[in-house]
This record gives sequence, structure tokens and C-alpha cells, in this order.
Amino acid sequence: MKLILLQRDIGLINRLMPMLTTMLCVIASVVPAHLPAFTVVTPAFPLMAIYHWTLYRPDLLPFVAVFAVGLLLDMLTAAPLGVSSLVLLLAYALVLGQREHLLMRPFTVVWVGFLVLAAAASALQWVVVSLFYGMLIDVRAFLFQGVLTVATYPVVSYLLVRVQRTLLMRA
Amino acid sequence: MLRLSMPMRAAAQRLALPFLIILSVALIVLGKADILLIERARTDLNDALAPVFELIAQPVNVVASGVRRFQDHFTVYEENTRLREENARLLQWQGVAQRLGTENEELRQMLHFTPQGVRGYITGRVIANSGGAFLRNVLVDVGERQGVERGQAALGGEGVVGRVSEVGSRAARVLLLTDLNSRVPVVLEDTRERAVLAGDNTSRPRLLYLPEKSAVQVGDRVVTAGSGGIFPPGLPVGAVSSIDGGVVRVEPESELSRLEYVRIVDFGLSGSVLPQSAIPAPKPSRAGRRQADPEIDTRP
Repeated sequence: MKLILLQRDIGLINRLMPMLTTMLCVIASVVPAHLPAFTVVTPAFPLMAIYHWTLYRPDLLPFVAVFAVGLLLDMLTAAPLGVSSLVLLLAYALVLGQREHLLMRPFTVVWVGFLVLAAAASALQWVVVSLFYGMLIDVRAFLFQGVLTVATYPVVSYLLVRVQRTLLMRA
Repeated sequence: MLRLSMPMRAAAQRLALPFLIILSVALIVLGKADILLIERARTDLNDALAPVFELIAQPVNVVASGVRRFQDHFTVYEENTRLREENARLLQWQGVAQRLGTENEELRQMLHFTPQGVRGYITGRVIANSGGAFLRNVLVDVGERQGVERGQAALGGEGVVGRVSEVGSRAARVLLLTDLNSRVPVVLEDTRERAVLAGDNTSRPRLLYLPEKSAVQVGDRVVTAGSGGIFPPGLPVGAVSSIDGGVVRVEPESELSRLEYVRIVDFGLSGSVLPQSAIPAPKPSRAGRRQADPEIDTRP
């Protein structure tokens, strides 16, 4: 009886993994890295986690979790509250709609899919933020962040696949 | 957990997306009004997460300093030569500074001048930075407990890096000069022309409201003006780096993108700083007059 309960609990922790790793990505994106490449902007780690989990385990990452991750990100960076939630929710919906075209495909295809998503997310973010401040904001930082995000995706994706393989096989 | 029947759950899931999207948009619109509640929630969250950030920052710092040490090995010879030259130059300056210090002291005594005293420096470590595409701020691990107040100036190694925009009990946020919302009254050191240094999401903020026939030149040093009551006068900010069709840009003295520590300066001026929400509405009120007071002392 106890053993079954324990197993169920492990199952619960495993099933929380997508949310936990996404939260971890939020924290990773605000920790000062002091590395030359990441000094001005850091890659959008949360977007990578959301893309990954929406593709492979959308059942374990509900809309509410995505919304909460966006809120947390905005709170931590002092961004206008709601901007990241909006961008991440729309990204989630977009990926969910295109899932079947990306599943079981070689990594290059998945990567290109992420490139499209990152570009769309950066563009949307730029539009929303420009509307919020009522001016056209310099786009270079957005472009740079987009490029950095796409470039670092393989590494994060590898780590998330490891988490998925070791913890989520049974869940 | 709420137990719902399958069709109900499916319906809830379908409705959740439009509902949450509308909620996000509503939050963005609400945020336009600078609601105090949101800010308080933010400082509370920062306070709660500060220990977590400190915990994470430690191993990251170890790795980063390891990388730097490795890189330094290759440049140690050049660096040594450069430092030796710089040291010789600085020793000369030290002599000059001592002489000027004595002279300054004597002249002050003659004039019965009381300088605006620095009450103290509070050194904080950067524990998080916004890193986003349109935000330039950092979180430091000092707060109200250490005496940090909103509006105080933050200095990096060489000069002003920004000002404190939010304070929690153990963490504070510093809005950097390059942030879209940053406005700092400055003065050109040589010509004494006043301007406002405005961040615009690039690494080099712009000078606004310079006089029309300004004599500004590339390389001119920019220091704080002391008007507006936020910063004390004369703190080094940076140097004019380009003048391009009326757009004057300033290279900040401190490297803003690589801040590890900041010094928050308590000049005893914070009493005159208005809450952020009151700043965009300038009215000829008593508060406005009080704000302008420090200006008088700085006129040469």
C-alpha cells in the first residue's frame, strides 16, 4: 500500500517536471551570467521550454501554467505585467495547432519550427511593447535576442530531452 | 483537484485559452496605470526570491570568474605593461588631486561653503538582471534593511549606472541609464549646458533638450546636474560618443552590461524625490519648487 502511494507520488513529481523545468528556465533567464555573449540580452529560455513541452507533452503543461510562467517572468524583470503571458500563450496555441507537422520529424525540422516561433514571438513582443510605451522601440535588441534564442535552442532542447527520457517514461 | 466530467474538462480547456489571453491583455492595460498593488506584489516576490537568486548566483559566479581567469592568462603580459603605465600616470594625478584638495578646502573655508555630504555608500551585489529585449534593470541584494531608498543614485566602478526604482526589505531594483524609462538630468562638464539623458533601449542613451546652438563635441564629459532632486550634482555619467544629425549619444562611464556590484549612494536627498507615479505630471506646486532647490547650489 505504502509502496503504491510512493510510486504515485513519484509519478506526480515526474508529471510536474514540465512545469518545474519551465520555471527553472524563467530563473535561468534572469540570473546574471557575466558571460560576454549574454550580457545585454539573455536567450528566451522559457519560450524554449514551452515549445519543447507543447510538442511532446502538452497534457502536462496546461494553459494556466503557461500564463503563470509569463506572469512570473514579467514580475521578475519588471516588465509590463501580462506581456510575457500573452506572448507565451499565443506561442503555445500556435505550436499546439502545428504539432502534427513537427512530431516524429528530424531535429532540423523541429529547430526550423522553433526559428519560426521565436521570430513570431519576438515580433509580437515588439508590437505589444511598442504599443504599451506608445513609441517605436529600437528593434535591434529584439533581433539579437531572437538570434541568440534560436542559436541556444539545441542545448536546452538536449537537456529537456534528457529530463523527459529519464523521468517521464512512466508518467 | 476539481473532478470534472470529460466533456466539461474539454470545454474548460477550450475556454481557458481565450479567457487567459483576455486576462493578459487586461493586465497590460491595467499596468499602464502604474498600479501600486502590482508594484508591491513585485517587490514582495523579489524579496522572497532574493535568497534563491543568491544561491544560484554563487556557482554561476565561480564559473564566470574561472572563465575570466583563464582568459586573463593570455593577456597578463600586456595587462601588466598597461597597468604600469597607468600607475605612473595616476601617481602624477594623485599629486595634483592632493594639491587641489587642500586648495579647495581653503577656498571653502573662506566662502563658508557647506558641501552636500554623502551619508554613506551601500554596496550590493547584482543577483538578477532583466536580460529581456526591452528592459534594462538589475536586482541587487540590498534593500530597506540596509537603508536603501527609492530614488537613490547607483554607481558602478566608474560612474552613475542608474537609480533605485523599487525597494523591498532585502532586495532593490536599479533602473539602468539605458532603460526606456530612464531620464537623468545632466550637464556637460565644460560648457555647463543642461540636458536630459534618456535611455532608448540601445547601449548608448541620448541627450535630449540640449540648447539649439549647442557647442557639444564628441568626447565631452557628462555629469549629473543635480536638478530634479534625484541625483546630487557632479557625479560622472559618461562621455559624448557621437553626434549625428541632432542625435547626441553618450557612452556611459561604467560598463552597464557587466555589472557585478553597485554602490548605492545616500546623499540625504531622497526626501525630495516624488513617487514615480507623480513624476510624469509636472505642476508648479510646492513639491516642484522644492525639487528645484539643489540646482541653486550647483551654479558655477
